[in-house]
Amino acid sequence: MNKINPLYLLLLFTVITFVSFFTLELKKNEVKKSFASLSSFSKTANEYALIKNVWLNKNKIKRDINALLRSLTSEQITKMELLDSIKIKMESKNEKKLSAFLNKLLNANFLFLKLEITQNVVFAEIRLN
Amino acid sequence: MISLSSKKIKVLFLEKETKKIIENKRMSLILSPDFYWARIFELPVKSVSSALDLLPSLFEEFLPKNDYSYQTIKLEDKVFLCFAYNNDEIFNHIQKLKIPISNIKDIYFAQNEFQPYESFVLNETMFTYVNSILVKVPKNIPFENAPVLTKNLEELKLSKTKVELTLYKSLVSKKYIYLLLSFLFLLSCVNIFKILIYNDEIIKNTKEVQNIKKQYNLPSTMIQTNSIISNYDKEIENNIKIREQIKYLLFYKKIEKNALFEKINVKNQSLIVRVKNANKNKFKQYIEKKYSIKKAYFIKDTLQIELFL
Repeated sequence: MNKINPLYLLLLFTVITFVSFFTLELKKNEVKKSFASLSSFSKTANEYALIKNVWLNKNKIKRDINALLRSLTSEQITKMELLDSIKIKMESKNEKKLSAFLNKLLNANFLFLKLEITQNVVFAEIRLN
Repeated sequence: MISLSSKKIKVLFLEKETKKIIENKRMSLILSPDFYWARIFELPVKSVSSALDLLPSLFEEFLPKNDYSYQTIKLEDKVFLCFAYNNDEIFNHIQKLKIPISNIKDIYFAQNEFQPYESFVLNETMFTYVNSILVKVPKNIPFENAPVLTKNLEELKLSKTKVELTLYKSLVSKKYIYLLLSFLFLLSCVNIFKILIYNDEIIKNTKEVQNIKKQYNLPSTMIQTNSIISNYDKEIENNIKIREQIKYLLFYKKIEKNALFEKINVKNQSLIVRVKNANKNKFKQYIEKKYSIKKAYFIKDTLQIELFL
């Protein structure tokens, strides 16, 4: 015995279908936002990693400075390591050597807190973190 | 069967002559043979559904032209008890008696419900089984030792065969409605499936964000991360500019060989250069080709220039 008019069922299913389309549209937008946010997040993370690994990598900076100093052993170079920075100073009357030192300093990925260049002295304070 | 309701279901016999049913209780109806045609057929098929397919053509020769519904019960191999009835006629009669549809529990064929009796009298009418088919005996034939049943038939043990009656009026063919229903159901299923896939994608992306956070050791919030990046970005940008400016300034020695750079000083994000023996205007013009000058002045014979980064 069929008591329920199928038109009621039809109405119910029409509502369900509409609700499903509406929810689907909401989800679609949510997914779009989620992908956009993931992409922007990865970009930010890469940028952060670049800063931390290239410009603020304490160990890398120390290694680079030591390598720089080793290559100029004959000159009068002083190095002073502080908690957040390293100070290095080269004194020389040889303009070429001084210029070479300056070039190496400028070509490395150091963040200079201070940089002073005179005829006989190159002094730099480099940020560690 | 254990009934959850303590109320007993009324069982009423429905005839075409029935004019009034006062009961406003849940009830089961037994249809008098007035409402249906019953026949036993021997058919060359095995299943009930195959037999049902044959019924319209089999009943065609007995019935007046109308729209009929059919039902069948398999009695033995290839022998079927078949029913034909006019759904609308029964439905209209129920409506005429103003019986609320919700009060009707089930509807039965009288054919199956009075099996214990060979013949019986009900509502001053005699019914009897002739060749296993229940028929109404004309009123002019006297009753012969037939038991008289009361109007209340609750004592009857009702069969499992119920009349598959449609108790509503439909403007659109049921076939099309069910087709449309199936389509909508399918569409909803596809949508739900897509929603689940999208949900999965969102969860994956959230997990990916967490993985990146761990992998790059990022601060707990994006605000902190962005603040760090913007701070250092500016410092890195300035440091790159400083390098470019120093290289550009030192290149001037190739233009004016006598020029002597006494001091280049980078402090508080600004660059100060002190130069001796240089043509002031020429040097300033050279700088201004690429950079802006903040201040330019002489200290004795030394030109001091402060540059914007």
